[in-house]
Amino acid sequence: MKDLEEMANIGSENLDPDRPQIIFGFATCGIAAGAEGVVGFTKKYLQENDIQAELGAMGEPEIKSVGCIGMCHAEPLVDIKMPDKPRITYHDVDETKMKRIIDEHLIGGRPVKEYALGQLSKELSECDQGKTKFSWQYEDIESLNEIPFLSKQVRVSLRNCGIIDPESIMEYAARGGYKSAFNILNKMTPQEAIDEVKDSGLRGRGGAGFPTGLKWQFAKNAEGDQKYVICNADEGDPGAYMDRAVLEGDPHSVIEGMIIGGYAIGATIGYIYIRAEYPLAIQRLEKAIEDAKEYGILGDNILGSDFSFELKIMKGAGAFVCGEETALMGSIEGKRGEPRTRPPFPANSGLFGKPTNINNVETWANLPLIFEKGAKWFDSMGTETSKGTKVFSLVGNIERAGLVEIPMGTKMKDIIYEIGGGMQKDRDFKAVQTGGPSGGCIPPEELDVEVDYENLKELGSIVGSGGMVAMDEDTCMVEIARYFLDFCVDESCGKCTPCRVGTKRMLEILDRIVLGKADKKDLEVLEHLAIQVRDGSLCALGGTSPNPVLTTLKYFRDEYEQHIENKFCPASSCASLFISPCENTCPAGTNVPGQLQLIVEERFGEAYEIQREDNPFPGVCGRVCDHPCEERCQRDQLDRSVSVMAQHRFCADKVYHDEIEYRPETSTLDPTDKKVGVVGGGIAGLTAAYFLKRLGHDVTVYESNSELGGMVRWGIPKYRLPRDVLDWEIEQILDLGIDAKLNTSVGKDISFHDVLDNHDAVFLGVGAQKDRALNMENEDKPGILKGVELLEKINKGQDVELGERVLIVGGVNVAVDMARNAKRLGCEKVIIAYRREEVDMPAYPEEIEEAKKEGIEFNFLLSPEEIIVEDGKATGMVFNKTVMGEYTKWGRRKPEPIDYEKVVFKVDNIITAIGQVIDTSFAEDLADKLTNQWGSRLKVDPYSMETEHPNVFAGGDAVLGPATVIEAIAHGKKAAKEIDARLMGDRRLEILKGMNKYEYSMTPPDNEHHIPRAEFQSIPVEERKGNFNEVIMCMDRDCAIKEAKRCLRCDISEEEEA
Amino acid sequence: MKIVIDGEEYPCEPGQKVYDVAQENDIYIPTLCLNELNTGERPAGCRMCLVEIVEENNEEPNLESSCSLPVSDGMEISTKSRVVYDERREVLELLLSEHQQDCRNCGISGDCKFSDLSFEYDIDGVSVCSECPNRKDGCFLSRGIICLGPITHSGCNAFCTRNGDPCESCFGILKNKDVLLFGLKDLDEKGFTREEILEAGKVFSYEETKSLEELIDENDIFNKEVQE
Repeated sequence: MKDLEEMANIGSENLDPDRPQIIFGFATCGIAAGAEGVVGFTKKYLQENDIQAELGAMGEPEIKSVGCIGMCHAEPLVDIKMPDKPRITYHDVDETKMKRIIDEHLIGGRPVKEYALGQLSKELSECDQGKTKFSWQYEDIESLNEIPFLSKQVRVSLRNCGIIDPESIMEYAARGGYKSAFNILNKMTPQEAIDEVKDSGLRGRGGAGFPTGLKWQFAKNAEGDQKYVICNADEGDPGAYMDRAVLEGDPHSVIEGMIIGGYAIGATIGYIYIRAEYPLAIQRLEKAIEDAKEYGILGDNILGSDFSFELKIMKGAGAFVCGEETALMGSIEGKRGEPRTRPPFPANSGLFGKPTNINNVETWANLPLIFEKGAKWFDSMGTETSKGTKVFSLVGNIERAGLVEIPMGTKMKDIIYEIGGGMQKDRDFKAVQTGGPSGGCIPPEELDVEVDYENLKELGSIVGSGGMVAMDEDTCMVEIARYFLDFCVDESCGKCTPCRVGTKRMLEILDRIVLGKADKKDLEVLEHLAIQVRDGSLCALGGTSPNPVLTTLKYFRDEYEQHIENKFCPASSCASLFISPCENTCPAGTNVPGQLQLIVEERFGEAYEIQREDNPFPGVCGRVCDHPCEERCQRDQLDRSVSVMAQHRFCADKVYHDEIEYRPETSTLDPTDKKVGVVGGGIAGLTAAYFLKRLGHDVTVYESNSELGGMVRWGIPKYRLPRDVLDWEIEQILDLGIDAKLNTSVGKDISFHDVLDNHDAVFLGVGAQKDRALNMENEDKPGILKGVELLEKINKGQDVELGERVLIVGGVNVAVDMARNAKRLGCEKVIIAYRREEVDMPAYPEEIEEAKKEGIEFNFLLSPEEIIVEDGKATGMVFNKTVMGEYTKWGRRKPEPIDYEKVVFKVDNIITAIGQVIDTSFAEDLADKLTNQWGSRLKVDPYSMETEHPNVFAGGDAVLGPATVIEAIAHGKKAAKEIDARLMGDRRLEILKGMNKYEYSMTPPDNEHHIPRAEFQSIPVEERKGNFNEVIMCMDRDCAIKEAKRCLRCDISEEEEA
Repeated sequence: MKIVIDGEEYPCEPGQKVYDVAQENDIYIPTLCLNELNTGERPAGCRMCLVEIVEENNEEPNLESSCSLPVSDGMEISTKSRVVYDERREVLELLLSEHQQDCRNCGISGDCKFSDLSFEYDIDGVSVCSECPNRKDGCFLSRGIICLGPITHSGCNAFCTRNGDPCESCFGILKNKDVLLFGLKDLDEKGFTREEILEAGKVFSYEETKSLEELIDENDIFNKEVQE
């Protein structure tokens, strides 16, 4: 014990010396991020500039390396420790930063605040002894405990990682190391030690979660002249590296754990089975074992007791299956690494046929602290069945990747959003894959799950070794299942039939699915096979290998079906199924790269035509589309996405104004004798009519208004979409020979049943134009107006009277449109109140920007509470202030009202714009049959677009709720395809698409250097007031061609290139 | 010590394997990788001898290979349950999916465990050749006599060919397209013509002959003579 104390004293001095220290995070992750270069630079810089002379009495700065603290997203990490002051951690350090840090902090004594991540002034971990504690702190620099990544963590097995020098046994001793082993060896019986572990509730951290104490008991009770303990450090899951971090950052904790385990079960020899791909971990382990031997901690009669313990390192060649305990032992014995059946369990007949206890690195590393602080302390953390903490390696498309140690039972959404900081680039979260290839995918609906062994198992996944791969919307779940299964096929040892052959057959099916060559039956076979492989395999590798497939099938079956039925990959990942990510993302499937190339070749007419193959409204979309295509543009990863929407507009305007030659729809199929009725002349209805007519059917459109265009005409302000463009594009559709019955309201002027009787099929594109109610008292008082109704009036040119001050409630597009209209109608003050934050507004960001420029006042975090009525007229509104509360599982925070904080607006008019619902009066007695359970939308089969009434199809806002123009177009097109297929028994839209051929260059462009994106130009604000002139200007010819040249041409495949 | 197999109690010794207890009591459990010459640890790799350990409240079936499963007192085993049958059948199907199809030239044909098992588990994937001991010069096809063995469903234990008559496809044409195709190509290689095959194939139903014809055309078999 005296020796240990002496060692601890030396260690404490090392941790807080009276000379400056430069501390590098020198684990594999740091090295990969470039720490070696920074170390080299620092040494050179210190030498060349004679820094020591400048530091004078403080002494020569010491260069020291530590393990990984877990913040892999911020590597390389460098700490500067000045005497008697807390360590400052700097992130993403390169040579320039390092120079400044040395100059200002090391010499000048002033930390560089911009580069600093935090200061280590308080202890980060659960360590009781050798705590980092400073009464004095740097001002203005956060403590590391408080930064979001670390604040929720509870560090037990990572307690020393990144804090101590892993190669120094003294520093480990200073943090209380080997004290537990000393106490147990000298003061406890083996059975007492086992009981303590049992009481703590510790379960195996390698994956299966078997109670550690019980396992030890079996090994202790087994009879044998020689027993073994083994540390399983064969960490093989893709994306998991917590074992490596522990071994590289704190190898002594594993050694101490194994001494305790060896003593408890009566084993005198221990093996550490570690993969040879971890050279740094092996090197540090070897050093640690040597040091331990030198100080009498390993060897004969260790730590002053009569117990002898020897530790050997066994290097594995890297087969995944060798992480399975029986295969691992086979490998140590010198045999082929193949699992064998259990029973007999290793506790009875393990390594060389002797009783053996095998535990994972993390399990061993937990033990010293459990004995130091007691079983009760460990038992107090975690959930009912899973105690303590667990290290997870949080990786994938996450903002802050790294190792996190959290108490069992932490909610998954907290790990993803609070610790991990959500998805990169603000993308939507799609799934998190836990437990590596043996685990499964957890969907957003299940993010509320409290992470522990049982809960994850219930979801079909496992805790496993702790891999956690977060995936965003760009990830295809079929591809993920295929990736993990491919890994299992490679790593299957081949011993048993289900795993060797079954996984291969499953992979073949998945290969067919991602290539778009699978049929519906394949899915059944896949599911069946997965279950058979799970039940029939010999070991856990085979038994769990179907998990990624089974969980994705459970939670993302729709995505599999999309691949099979529609040959569509929603994530734009399976490249064989589409020509380019933009085309795949466009709901209408516009051939964007083709259009851009035609613009480059200055064939503007054809560029317009090629778009009209999929979308009869290029001019409209060029102005009001929400351009999802640009979000998936691959150029976004290089600099910024191509401005696709501006190109649509450019082509349409070119044709409209310059009368460039183009072919109107010459490609139509021969007339059939089928009649189709379209109810509602909005965008969805007109698109359906356009395609149906071209397919040869006789089409009649019923529209209750005097003009066609629906919500686009009545809802979108003229300054965004000039009516002449809309009229021109509608006219082109009608010119195909479509009969449009205007001022004909179905359900009033003509009975719905007559429409049904007169046609072979009917498409309902009736829209959702009824304002959703606030459901508040006094809502019907004068002074309160409804957003959509009002917009319609304004756009019809009817008189609208608004007061000086107008308040708009809501955050949808209608709210912003209404605000900008009000400004144009002469309102002095226009206020928008929304209950969430600006980023949460469903309205388009560019519209919000323009509105702000026009002087519209935005008020966020306000939730309506009461309408003020004076003299029977609404004159204002009382709002509750809200705060953004907890994250919901969808990654959106919930606004929570604060009762005592109110905001009052006194205004002349209040306009509500909080969403729209459908008006079902057209359907007469069939309304119930056609709508969903709340009566707010029409209900259709998502694949066939058919309602429950045969041969009646629906689409657009009526089905989706207020949706985008391009979604309405897509619905119209899809419905036309399905209606045609129903009437003709054949899918003929493809024939139509193939009739016009467009030949353009398929040579890959040389444009992978930075080219700035051409942005929309708008007219000055002062020119906007009092008129409804279009705000956004069209690109000029040169600019458009230059922009089109930015396209990376994802549509060119390698074969075509060759 | 006793264990229960399929509802009957049987005495056993500690350390004995379930498979051996079953053997002693004439309870049939199929095996493939179990080999009498292998004196060491049993590999338990083929998974053909799977049995179900019957426990209450089992969500997922607990299947173990009986050859390596040590007995424990009172253990209840089922060798005939639905899951056992399905899993064994799947194992066979998977093995067949990787199996050589050339039964006609295989040294084991005529005494093939695989062939027997696939008949037992109702798997359509091996031809009569797997049951036929005639090989090389003894094979009818080598002697220029048309024999439908390569394209016929097994299960008759090659009664005719063992007794000197060529196969007339009593058990019907193979449904497994891969194996059927292999057999047709084999016949083609042996120099028989499309007409000869279809003539011999008239024993099938009209639909089957028709589909056989289609398969031949689709895959361009029996085309060599025409070209010459």
